[in-house]
Formats: sequence, C-alpha cells, structure tokens
Amino acid sequence: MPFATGRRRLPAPLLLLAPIVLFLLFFFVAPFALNFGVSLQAGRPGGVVGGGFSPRHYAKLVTDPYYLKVIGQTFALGFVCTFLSFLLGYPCAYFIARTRSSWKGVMMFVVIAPLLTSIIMRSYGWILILGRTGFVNVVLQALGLTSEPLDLIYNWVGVVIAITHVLLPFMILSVASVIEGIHESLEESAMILGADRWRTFRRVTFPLSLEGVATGAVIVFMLTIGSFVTVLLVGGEKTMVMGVLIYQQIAITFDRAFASALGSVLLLIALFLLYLQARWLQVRGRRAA
Amino acid sequence: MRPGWLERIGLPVYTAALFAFLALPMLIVVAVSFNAGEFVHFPPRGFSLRWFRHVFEGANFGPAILNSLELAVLSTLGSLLLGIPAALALVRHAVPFRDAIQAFLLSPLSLPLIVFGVALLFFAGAIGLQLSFIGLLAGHIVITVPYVLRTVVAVYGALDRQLEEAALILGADELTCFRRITLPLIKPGIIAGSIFAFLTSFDNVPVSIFLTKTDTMTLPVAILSYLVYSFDPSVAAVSSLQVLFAVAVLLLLERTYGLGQVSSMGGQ
Amino acid sequence: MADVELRRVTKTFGRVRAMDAIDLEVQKGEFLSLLGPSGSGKTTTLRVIAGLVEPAAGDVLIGGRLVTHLPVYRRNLGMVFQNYALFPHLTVFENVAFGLEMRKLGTTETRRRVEEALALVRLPGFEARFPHQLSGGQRQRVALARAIVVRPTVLLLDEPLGALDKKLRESMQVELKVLQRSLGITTIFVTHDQEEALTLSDRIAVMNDGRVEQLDTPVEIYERPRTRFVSEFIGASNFLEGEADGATAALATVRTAAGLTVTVPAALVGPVGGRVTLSVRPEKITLHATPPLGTPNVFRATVENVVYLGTSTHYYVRTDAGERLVAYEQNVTVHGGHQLHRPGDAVYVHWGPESTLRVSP
Repeated sequence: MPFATGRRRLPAPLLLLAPIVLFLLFFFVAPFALNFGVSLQAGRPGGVVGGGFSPRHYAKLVTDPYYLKVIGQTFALGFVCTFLSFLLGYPCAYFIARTRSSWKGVMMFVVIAPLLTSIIMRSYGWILILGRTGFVNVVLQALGLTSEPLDLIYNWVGVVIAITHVLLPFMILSVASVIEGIHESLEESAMILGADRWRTFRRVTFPLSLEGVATGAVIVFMLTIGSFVTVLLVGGEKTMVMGVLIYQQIAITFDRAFASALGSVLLLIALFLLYLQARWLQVRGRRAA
Repeated sequence: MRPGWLERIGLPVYTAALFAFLALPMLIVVAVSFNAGEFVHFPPRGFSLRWFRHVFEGANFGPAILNSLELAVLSTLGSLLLGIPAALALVRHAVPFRDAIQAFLLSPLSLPLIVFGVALLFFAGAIGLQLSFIGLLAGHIVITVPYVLRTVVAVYGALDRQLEEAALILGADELTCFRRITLPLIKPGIIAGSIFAFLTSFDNVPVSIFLTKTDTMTLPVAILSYLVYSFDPSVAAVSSLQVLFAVAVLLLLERTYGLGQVSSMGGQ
Repeated sequence: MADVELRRVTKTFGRVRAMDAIDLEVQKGEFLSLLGPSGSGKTTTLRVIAGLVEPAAGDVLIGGRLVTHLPVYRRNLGMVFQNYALFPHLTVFENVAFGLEMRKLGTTETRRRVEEALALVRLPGFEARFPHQLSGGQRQRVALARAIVVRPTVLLLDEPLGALDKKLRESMQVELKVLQRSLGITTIFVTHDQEEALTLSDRIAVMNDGRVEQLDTPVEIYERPRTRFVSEFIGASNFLEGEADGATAALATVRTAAGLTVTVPAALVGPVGGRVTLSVRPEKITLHATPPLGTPNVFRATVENVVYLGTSTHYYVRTDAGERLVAYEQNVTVHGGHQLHRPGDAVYVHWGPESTLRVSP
C-alpha cells in the first residue's frame, strides 16, 4: 500500500540542542566570564569599571578581617542550615517515603507547596512570627512564659530559622525519593536475619539513603551560601553574608569591581561543590556497576 | 513485624508538626492580610478587605503585577521553545558528553543567582542592552529553562520507547510520531515544568533587582522597595493574592491531570 | 522467491556480536520462529528486519526489494511487541486505526477495516475502551489487530505471549496460528520458549550467539538436531561421548569413556577411533525390570531419582558403568500413586539404535 506521508525526520540531536546551549553560553557563561574580568580591573573613581589589571579586590577580600569574617559567616550559615535541614527533614522524608496511607500524594504536595509561594512572602511571614510583637512573642507572653519579648529576628536565630524553613523541602524531597527506591525486601531480609528495626535502619536503610542525603545537602548548602533575599529581610547588621554584601556593593557602595570579586569567589566555590558532587556520583555509579 | 510506637505514633506526629512549621508563615501572612487595623498586629484585629484594595490603589502594585505576569509568561514560552527540543535530544539520542551537557544546562538551578544578577547587569551594559526588557527576559529564561528541561527529561525518559517504535512501524514518520504520540504523552512534564518556570520567574529577586527600571519593575522588587519605608499589611494582601492565583492554577491542573503527577515531578 | 531475506547481516553492540553474518530466508506465507536463549540475537534480528536497528553490514530484502536503509515507516510491516505498546492516550479504535490513518485511508473504509480486524481477534464492540481498561489478553489482541489491519507484507512478533499466564498463552497460540493460516501473512515470531516454537512454526531458526545453528521444520529440529546446542535447547538430551569402535554394514558401535558399548546406525559414525558425541532423547529410553532379549543397547542401572509429572514420570538413573541418564516414561499403567520403579531399584535401560543421534559438539 503506498504511503501518503513523506520522509519527514526530526532534526538531528545537535540541532535540537544548539539553541539552548548557545543561549546559555551567551547569556549565562559569558556574563560570568565578564564578571570575572571586571573583578580583575583596578576600577576607576565612582565605581566605573576599567583602569587596567589589578588583583587588589581579591587582596582586599583575603586581607581585610571584616570580609574574611563575612565569608566565614556565610559558610557557617551554610553548614548549620544544611545540618538542621537534614536533622529535621530526614524523619519526615522517611515517613513519607514509607507510608502506605492514601494521603501520601497530599503529603508530597504539602512539602512542595512552600516552593510555589513567593520567597518574600515566606520571609515576611517569619518577620511576623518572630518579631518583637510577632506571633511567638505574643503567645509566649500570653502564656506567661516570658516577661519580655525575645529577640528572635534581625539576628542569626531568625536567619537560620527562615533559611532552614525555605530549604527544608529540597532536603525532604531528595531523601524521600531515594528512600522510596530502596526496596522493602532489603529491610525485610535484614529483619528475617535477626536485625531489629533500629539495627535494620542503621545498617541497611540509612546507608542506602545517604545518596539522597548528599544530594539534598549539596542543594541546601549551595542555596544557603547564595542566599540573599531571606537574609536581607530577616537578618540585621550582625548577620552579613556574601549575598547581601554583593548587593550592597552594587546598590549602595557602587563598588562594582569588588562586587564582581566577591561574586567570582562565591561562584568558584559553588562550581567546586558541583564538581565534587559529580565526581562522587561517578564513583558511586562505577561501584554499583 | 509490628511497627513500634516510633513508627505508628512518633513519626506521624513529628511529620504533622513539621508540616505545621512549613505552613505557618504562609498561614500567618494570609491571616494578616485581612487585618482591619493600620499596622500588623497579633492577634489580628477585625476583618477587612481594605488592604486588598490598597494593593491596587495606595500601594499601586498593579503595574508591577502586570510586568511580572508578562515577564513570566514570556520566560515560560522561551523556556519551552529551548527546553523541549533539548530534552528530546538528550533522552533519545546518544549525544556525546550527554551527562555533562545536561549538568551544564541544569546548572542555573544550583549556582548563586545573586552573582548571576550582577554579572548579567555588567554584560547587558557591555553589549548595549543596558536595562532593557530584552536583557531582563534573557536573564529570566536562563533561570527558568532548567525547570522545563528537568521535568520533560524525567517524563520523556520514563516513556516506553516501544510506543514510538510502534508508531513508526505503523507508518508514522518522525514528525507525525512526535506530534501524535510523543507530545500528548509528555504533556504532564511540560505542564509541570511550565508551572515551576512561571513561578520562578514571577518570584525572582536576584536577577530582577538589578535589571529592572521604573517601567519594567517586577512585583518582588516593588514589594522590597515598599518594605523599606512601609510595613503595612498590603504586602500580606498581595502575597495572599499570589497564593490564591497559584492555588487556582493548581486546582485547574488537578482537574485535568491529577496532583500526584505534578508532585512527583517536583522532587527530581 | 523468499518474502524476507537476510544476507550476511551483522550487527555489533559495543563488543557484543548480536548478529554474526546471518543468512536467513523466510518463504511467503510461512510462520517462522526465531528461537534461542536471551542474548542469542533473535530480537536484534527482528528489529533489523523492522528497521529499528541498522545493520553494520549485510542486506535486508523484503518482498524482493532491498530495504536495508529504508526508514521504518516505509516498510509496510506489522509488529506486536512483548508489552504490546498500545498508545495509552488513544482508544482501542484509534489504536487500531492508527496505521490506516498514516496511509490516509478514508473514514468509512477505516471504520470498516477496524471493525473487521477487531472481529478477527474476537474483540468486537471494544472500540471505545482505553488500553488501561483491558486485561492482558485483550491488550494483546488489540495489538495484533492493530498490526494486521494495515495488511502488512510481513508480521513481526516479539515474544508477544510472554506476559500471559499458561492457560491463556496456550489458547492464544492456537488463535494466532489459525489467524495466520487464514490470512496467509508471512510471519516471523521471536521466542525463547521451545514448546511454543514447536507448536506454532512451519520452520524454526534456532539461534545462539548471533548465529543460526539450524533452520528446519519442527520435526527435523527435534528429531535430528545437528549441533549439541540445538539438541540441548530443544527438548532434553542424554549425551554420550566416545570413540567409534567397529562397524558392520548397518550398525556400528561406540565405546564411551566409562566403558559402555553403544550400538548406533553405521551411517552415524566415521572411521574407527574417531571421537563421537551421541545424543539420546529421554522419551526414547525405556526401563525394564528384566533385561529385554535379542536387542542391543541394554544396560543395567540403578534408579537414583524419580520425578512424577502427571502425564509422565522422569527417571534419573546411573548405569553400572557410571553414566547418568534420564528416561521419560508415559504413565500408561500407573494408577493411584504407585510407581513402576523406586529410587534404589535395579533396572535395565534400553533404546533402539535408530533413536541415537549424532551431534557436533
């Protein structure tokens, strides 16, 4: 029987990939490259870019104790929030992954829902909750537990709470999806062999779930050290991190070259983490094969 | 083996508490948006819709809302145009360095956006775009396209290859096969990716804050500047409107596709 | 003229030779099975004919036409996949009509043909249903209807009955055979189930390691396997290795390492001293309480294991010489659970020389 359709092939894969790759190379990679270039310029008065090669911005960064402190604080925040989101998120992830309840879909949705709301809304919400006349303080004072309002905001306490809240869903989703992939028969075999539930968890489930923990940890850490809006709204003078510092350099101090230097350092760290993650996954993949 | 108390009571209770923690800020904000008074109070005093009116009148977030909508829609469209073909190529063809390319295309999800915002500001200036809408749009497409790519790759990767093979054997050439078989079956992935793309663009601060000017101001940037000098509940009201919008869209999709599909794709 | 022809077709995946210079001819209207273990290359062969895989070397001809590089959608074939590959978003009608739609057939004609096809597979009235509403057997039949409604030159089936349970599979085998006979479509059927191949095929191509070891009718494949692999893969075999001992006009003897002297047709063996691998099918061996007289190939043995299978009993015996053999006896005289022989019993095994086969090792 003759065919009516002609020979219509889809474009070759390279042609399908070209637009997005070129687009990202131009609007994503090139700006970063330019940014790095700017950071190596001495800078002219008034924040204008130019003035010849000079590493002085990086020098300023590594010699000034204030900036070193900011970098340190950024990292410390990263570690604290990552650890907290792991501690708080893991049990929840385990529960959701293993539950047979018909509410499982709803639970997943509750975890994802915050990600669909505005980050400003979430930060604003924490201001309302943690502020001096906010929800927590009002309740504590009404219950007679405190006589004076607690300082829970515009300091590290508020920042840690707000950031952990924002990033918790990432950790939960990452861990839950890995645990779901651990076949129940593995845990059942361990139990038949005599391991009680805690032992089974410690020796079988937890080690197998580490991949999800690692992925989640990398995401949370990277998003924390790059955090800007949340710290700006919920933090104060004492809680300077690199993201806010970069913003200040552009919007207030107009020291563009220094902002680029800060940004390049942050970017480098993030790229390094991504590289580590890729290598770790590669090693695991080879070991599993 | 009977699950112990930890699993039957401890974990569910803990999870419920954690869910409450996750939902708390949003609930508080929505509650506050109905506040009758001038300032933000706890507990909220009275019930009023005045702040919702204020959003469009006094605070005048209306133009910003429109800007954000326009930007989000265009970014999503751009992401679909760039992302869907790429997903097809990555899943079905043995592209050299496929994993590396995919990691590269998804990298805007993980890299610090504040640095990107600054970098794009310099770049836009360097190539003459300055603070134009095109530069802003380009930046938004960069950060939204990974969402589309990720979900379409996930859905398309899970699609049984033999369905396309069956179509080919039955006489459909590659374009017809894509149109009649592939596209309808990857629609859930496209929808999910579009939602994430849209919301990411709508809510973005680090890129918008440097590349907007007065007439292209987006809602998040407008809210931030508003918060500098005024702390009234109109911020809560406009946030509540955003939630309402998101819920409406999601309900619409639940009707058509089922929530489980979208949720399962959010995690990848 | 052969309807499908493969000439020295080769295909490698990485370091694996899925197809090793395969020559194959499928006659018009015949039902040919590609039979072999997983990894033998049978599915690859089918996919090369379909055009889903391009061969590294060699030619593919369909209906006398060279199609090696012709795209899949121009070959006018029908194919049923192992998991049916029904389009989940289309109704049964739309699924079956798909191929006709590609051929731009009119609405009336399409409707007529679809109804005809569904009637042929005994699913009339199922047009409006969706695949997820059907049982496995029903999906399989829709897949079949979809493949044949376009009147393909060749019908390709990739282990289509594998997902069905035993009873359903057996009834589908009969239906499939009847359908194929009535339509007269050249059919190529891939399976790893030798019973299925024996039941359905006009001819079987036994494949191993990318090569066709034997291409013959089911009877020939079973009764006269040419290689050790074929005789092992199809049915069970007892193998005896030895040296040609002596010969008369009609008969010859082979002496095994254990010292057993086996009498075989003279045509089977070569010169004295040559190494020979013999094969005897278990159902050709009989067990006797007392040695039958006047016939060669009677050996004393001890019963080691007995397996009762309802229609037959399998006896695992060990000859005095030390050779292990399996014998199948039909349960003609066994009633009410008592067995003819029990483990530990001494028996005499016997088979006629003409039941012996020689296989290349």
